[in-house]
Amino acid sequence: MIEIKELTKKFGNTVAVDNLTLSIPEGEFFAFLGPNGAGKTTTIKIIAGLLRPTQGSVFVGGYSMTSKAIEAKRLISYVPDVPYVYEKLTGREFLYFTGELYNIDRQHYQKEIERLLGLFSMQDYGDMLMENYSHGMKQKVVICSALLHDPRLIVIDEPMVGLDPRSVRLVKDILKERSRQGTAIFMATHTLSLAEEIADRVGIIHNGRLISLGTVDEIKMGVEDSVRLEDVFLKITAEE
Amino acid sequence: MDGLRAIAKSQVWMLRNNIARIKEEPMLKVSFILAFMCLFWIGALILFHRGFRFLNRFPFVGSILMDETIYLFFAALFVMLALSSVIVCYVTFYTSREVDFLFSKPIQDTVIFFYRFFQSVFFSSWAFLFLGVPFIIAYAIIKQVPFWFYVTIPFYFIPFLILPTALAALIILIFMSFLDFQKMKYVIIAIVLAVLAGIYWAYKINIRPAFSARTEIDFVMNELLQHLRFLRHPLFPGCWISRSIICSSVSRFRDAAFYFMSFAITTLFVLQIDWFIAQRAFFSGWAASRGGRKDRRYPVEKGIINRMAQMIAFLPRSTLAMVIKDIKIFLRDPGQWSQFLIYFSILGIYIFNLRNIPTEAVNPFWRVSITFLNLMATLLVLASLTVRFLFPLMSLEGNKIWVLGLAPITFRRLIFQKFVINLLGILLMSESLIYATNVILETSRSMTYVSCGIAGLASFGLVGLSIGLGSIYPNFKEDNTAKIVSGFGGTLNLIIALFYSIAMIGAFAAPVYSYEVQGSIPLRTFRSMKAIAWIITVAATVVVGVAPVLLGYRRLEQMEY
Repeated sequence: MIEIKELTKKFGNTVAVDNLTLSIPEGEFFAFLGPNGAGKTTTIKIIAGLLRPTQGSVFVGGYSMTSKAIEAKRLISYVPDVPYVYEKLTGREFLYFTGELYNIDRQHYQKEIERLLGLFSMQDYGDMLMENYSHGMKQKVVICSALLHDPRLIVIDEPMVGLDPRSVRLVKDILKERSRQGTAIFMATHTLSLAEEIADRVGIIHNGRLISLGTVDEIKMGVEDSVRLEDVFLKITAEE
Repeated sequence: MDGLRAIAKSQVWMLRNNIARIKEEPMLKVSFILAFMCLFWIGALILFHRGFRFLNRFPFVGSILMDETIYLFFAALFVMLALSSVIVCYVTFYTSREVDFLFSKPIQDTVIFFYRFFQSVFFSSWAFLFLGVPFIIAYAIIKQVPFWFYVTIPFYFIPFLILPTALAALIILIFMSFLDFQKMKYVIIAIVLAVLAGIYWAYKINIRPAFSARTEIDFVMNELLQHLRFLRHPLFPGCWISRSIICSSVSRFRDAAFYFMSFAITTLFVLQIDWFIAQRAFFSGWAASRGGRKDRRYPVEKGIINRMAQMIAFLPRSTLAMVIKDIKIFLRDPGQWSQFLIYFSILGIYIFNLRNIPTEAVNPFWRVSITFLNLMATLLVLASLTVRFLFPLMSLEGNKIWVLGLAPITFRRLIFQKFVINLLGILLMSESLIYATNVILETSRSMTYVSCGIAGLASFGLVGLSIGLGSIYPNFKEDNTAKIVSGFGGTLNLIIALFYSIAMIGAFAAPVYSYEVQGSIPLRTFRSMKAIAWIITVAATVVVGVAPVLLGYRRLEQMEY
């Protein structure tokens, strides 16, 4: 689903992502880990088409993110780390807006919106302006909008920030279910226990370079005396 | 004062960082911008100088006409500054996230208040300052004032820019302290309407029939002085600063000092009241704005906007969705629509008062001049309207731009949608306005056609310019439109829009004056010159209206979010 080839992104003299090559097949739940400033969000934004690579290429579903961006974007959903939304729209209006942008059948998306709002216990707040929402409520609306057009790839940056425990569980279940149905999930997170719990494969990025890649067990085996993913993470990012 | 030093330092650091960023820009770009701004400033100076020279040439009354222009300029400026400051203060004091941050720190309320107050002064008045200085210099040159007069100009402007904002801040402080935050929009409407009704009333009661005038000069002076008498009302602060400038230009130092001190002391007095109320009520008003009623529901497919959207349901779905989104956001933001209300109320007063110009009593020179001045007024209104409301459109997508950046739509469609929808609205407004005013002024049919043609072309050019430059120079980090417009892109937009508007009229003014007023060219030459004027204006419109849109599209395509 995602093919990243020799991807490099520079901001002036700073190398944010350095020669990253990565392949994520359909249905894989991939967790992307790294310290602050390692290059996670930059990579995610390049995959989502919000940043352009300095070198290298990104293909989503076989479409180049540079030359066939519109086709690629139809397959993607993106949940940013900070849920910036149109504060003067209601949650329901924002979801309708998303449905129209993606040209989804109106009856279908109306039904789906009510189902998703119900899942996240947001039906009662759906007609209130989002400027009155808490961070978690905005995050829920953004997650709903990401699920609306049935994407084949969900790119998600720190998905659990601001969510209550019930919603965290719900998001985990939804993402796992989607992954089982064939949707690729590319999730950047600092919550190592979450990655350990649900990811099929883990990649650790540090100073822009991918320094470790494999299943959680494979990664643990590569580092001595490591029982938890947290131990591995702390060791290999400290070594670098 | 607690926190004052920290805030001042942070501003100095921000200024330093901004200067450092400018230094990183290509030298050619910075030089071009500076040269362009200097050119604009010099152009404005030349224009004002010519205007004053024209007035000064009237035998016996030239000096009076110049002084009346000063009264009119400062009165209009004062009222406009006060009105716009009401909105800017409301947004700056109560809706900015920075105030949330500042209130979480151990800083005195009055420090936060005055920090935001002086930001409001800057954002609501920099453009007036930019135009006001060449205006006064032009006046001074024609009046042949001594050198020291030029040195005093900044001293006139400092209190003049502060007082309207201080009054606006006072109004907002009082209303926010004693009224429900949710009712603020009604307060803004009431203030705007009350001020405009006051202007109209003051203007209306001074109008006297002028048909008894014996000569042309008598007629003009009688009409003008009667109309503008209210500007010299002794209790109107705008009048004090005008009198001070006029008195100092003829070396009446005592009178000049008296009026200036009246203005300065009033400014300090109002600031003192602001300080007094801010100390007691700024925080409580701000807290009330955060704790108001928040449970109002907006059912998704009900309401007048959704019903009206049915009329444009033929548009592509994503385009229609973006149009509805833009309209809803605009109408739910009092800081946006209240300024729109001011524009249209002023336009209403303008149109209403055009009826008082007795067109049958004036000669061809005045008839043609009034027609062109009316056209100029319309284009300037369009220019300011497009700069104020259309330039920030792309920036207002702000940190939500990821929603559109991610959606399977091209930026070509996004820009095109904003361009076409706004063009339709502006076109409807400009053509209605120009046609109505030409009918009121009893303009000849050919001149009405020319006016409508120019207004149509200018609508296209000005909308394209603002949408295009707004896309080339977006500010996604700012949600205060006053700040967005006061940036480089907004300034450039204003400058080009003003030049373009003047050029559009200038292209037709020369042949029309030569033929209809002076009779110095035959009909054939007149027609040829008019044809050339059309070619020039169409070409200028294509350059001004299309090129920025194309460049804006390219810029958005290459932009990273």
